[in-house]
Amino acid sequence: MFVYIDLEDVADSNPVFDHKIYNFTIDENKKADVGVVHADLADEKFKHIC
Amino acid sequence: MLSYQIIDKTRNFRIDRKRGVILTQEPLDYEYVKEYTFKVRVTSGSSGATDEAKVIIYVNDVNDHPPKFSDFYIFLNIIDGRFNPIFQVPATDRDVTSKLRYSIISGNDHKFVKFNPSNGELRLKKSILNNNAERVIKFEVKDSDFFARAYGRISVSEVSSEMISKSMFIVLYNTTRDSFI
Repeated sequence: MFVYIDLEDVADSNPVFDHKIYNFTIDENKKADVGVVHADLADEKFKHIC
Repeated sequence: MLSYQIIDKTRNFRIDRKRGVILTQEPLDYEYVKEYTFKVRVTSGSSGATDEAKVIIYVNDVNDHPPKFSDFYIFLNIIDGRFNPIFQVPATDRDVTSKLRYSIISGNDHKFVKFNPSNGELRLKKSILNNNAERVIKFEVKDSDFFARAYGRISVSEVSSEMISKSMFIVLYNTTRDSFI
């Protein structure tokens, strides 16, 4: 007899930044976007890998 | 849904909570602060879990200040013939990475002054003693975008040790040297 167990992913994991340190550079006297930080939920990462 | 925030107190930057875009709140001044460091936090709307990262922002120097240069005077006493007159043209630039270039516009027809255009070093030649003891030279100082001009008045006197030992020191309050004389 086979038993099928279907695991459903739920959003139960920590969000994770792409980098632990972000380095940005900007010219003085400029009012502008400096850069973007980005994170994913580990669940979403897992999905992408599979 | 993820939400971003800056943890450390900073009045110079803010973050778009949804997109994670970091923006300047006001123009930055390299001469005041060259580097900013703060932490950002991301929070999961569903679980409340968080992560943190460090952000380092380097400010590039931009040439936004002209050289500061105003008229100056050099009063030189040659004591007992000892002649070693080296001076520095007193120009400054708030842009610390600006490289200044110096030049003489006028007043050095007889080449009394030997001049280094890369550092503003001024050497008086001994021949200045045989001519008019006071010279007025017009200088120019340039950085990559701006320039400033000023006059340098150079006055040379020959004195002896005896003259100095018998002289007195006078401090002038509320009057100029010329009006006193």
